[in-house]
Amino acid sequence: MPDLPTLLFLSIFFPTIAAAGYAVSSRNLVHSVLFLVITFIGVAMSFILLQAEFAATVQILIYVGAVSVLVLFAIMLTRHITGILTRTFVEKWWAGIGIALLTFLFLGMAVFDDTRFSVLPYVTDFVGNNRKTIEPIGIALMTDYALPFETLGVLLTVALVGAIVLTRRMDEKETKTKGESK
Amino acid sequence: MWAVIAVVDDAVAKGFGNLVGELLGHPWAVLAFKIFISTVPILVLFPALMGLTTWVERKVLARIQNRIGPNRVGPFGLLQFVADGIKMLTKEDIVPRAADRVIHLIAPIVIVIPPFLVLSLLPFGKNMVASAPESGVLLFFSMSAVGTLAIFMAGWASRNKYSVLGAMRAVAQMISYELPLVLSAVPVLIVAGTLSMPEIVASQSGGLFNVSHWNIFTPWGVAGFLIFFVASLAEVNRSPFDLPEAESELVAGHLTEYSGFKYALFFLAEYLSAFAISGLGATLFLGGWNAPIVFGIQLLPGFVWFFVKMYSLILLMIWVRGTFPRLRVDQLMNFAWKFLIPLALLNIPVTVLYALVFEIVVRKVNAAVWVQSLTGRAAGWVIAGGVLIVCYHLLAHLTFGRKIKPRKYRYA
Repeated sequence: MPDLPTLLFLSIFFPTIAAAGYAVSSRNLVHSVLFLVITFIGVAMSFILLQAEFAATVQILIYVGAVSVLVLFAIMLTRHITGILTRTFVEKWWAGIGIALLTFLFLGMAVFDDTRFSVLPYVTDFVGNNRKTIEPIGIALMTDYALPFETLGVLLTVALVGAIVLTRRMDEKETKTKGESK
Repeated sequence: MWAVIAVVDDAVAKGFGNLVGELLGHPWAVLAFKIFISTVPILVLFPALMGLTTWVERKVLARIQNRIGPNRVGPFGLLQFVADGIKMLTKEDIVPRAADRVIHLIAPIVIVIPPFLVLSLLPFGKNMVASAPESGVLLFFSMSAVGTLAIFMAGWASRNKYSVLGAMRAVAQMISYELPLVLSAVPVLIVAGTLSMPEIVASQSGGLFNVSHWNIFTPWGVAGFLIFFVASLAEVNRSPFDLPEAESELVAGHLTEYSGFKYALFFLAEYLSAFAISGLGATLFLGGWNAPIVFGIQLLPGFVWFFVKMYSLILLMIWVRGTFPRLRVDQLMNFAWKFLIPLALLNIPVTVLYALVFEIVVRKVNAAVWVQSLTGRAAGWVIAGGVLIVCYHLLAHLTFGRKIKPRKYRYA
């Protein structure tokens, strides 16, 4: 009989993996996105299980609340695919699987080769004491990692401005052609 | 009477769970009771309050529009919501033939989950909070973001052009207004130095009449609260931001193809999120369950004050609905991106400025403590408030340009 943490983990693990499988194989793109959302929620739940509360919250805020909606928007904007089934397999699907496996392998090596994984305090005693996790993250972001943090902020601002510039240029072109036709 | 209330408040403060735990003895029984006491009130009280609020809303709107409103079922029409509820339950559940049946079914279920989860994060009184995680406010925003997805599911699964249009409008609107909503809460988090809701409430207690530390009584608090309130109206799709279900353009938006109990669930979710966001507003800016005017003990228990504050915000929402016309889509987006978000962003440095001025003056002035804090406050108000007013007018000028003149109607 496995202990409670393991049971909890397994009850999150299997639905998450199943949803990920459906997300890849579903022929309806909107269904894929919704399965992807279930996967995101599963990942957030496993973060909670690891007492990484902040990571879980941000996972839901960014991936469930924003990224999935962005993907849905992109689907709705590209073409009218409501009801149209798409192909899920390309000819070189084995290459994709190979790359995915390699990536997983390297990530796994990085995590498992290191003895740190087994002694992560959050993993060893995850039930019980109410440890503060957000404050250290905030302090680290404002002191040790201030430069990367600010750089990311600048990068995102550039992306935002770029998006606005792109759409604006298209707008002007349209008005120009309209003017010419008149 | 005060003594009784003090005892009740104290018992709540100690936690009913522990009290009953001593009576029950077994730890599992304590756990079960704790789960019961923290979930059942939320699951029972808020839907009941929603029923009552539909009646209040119709009555108040009727009063504003010089009508009588519901007055047939029960005294003053009070039981109207029961009749409506029974009608909803007995109606035929219609699913369009082309609809995506599964998602059409799941959407109304998904949409009621986030409001309930979010309500469980609010501190209703001293120690009266179902769950108080460290990341409370952030978790609140992330949970309520899931509602966007449910509205999209509803609109898309209905396979109806009005539904899809309404859903797209709703998603665009909710994403746009989430930014000012979150940004307007940031100053509170900076000043309180925490994301946990009970700690934010605790940081606003004390001071003159137990009121002077409320965040609304600072220049950035006023600005933040106004931005928060406007953004929350848009976030819960209430008038004047009810474009997603604008009946003159889109039939009923994403609700077009829903009937019976599913429709009732959407309605329930809408009211629950209105309660939740008003509760958050009361927690962040209006001092949460802190009672104004305390003579040693509170006149009324904390949760009464919380509900009074929350419900005043609901009444304000109803008043706004009875007063303002609906916005156009372009006005909606311009207002969010060109006015509310810059103002909310500016409010953050202004908060820091206010805190600095307050600190400096308090240190400089050689006087009694309350005089010190009073002069600090006054100086902070003058400087930070001045900056805010200048920013407001500048932004309004930049965004809306020309002065708004009285409109001349040609055909009316």
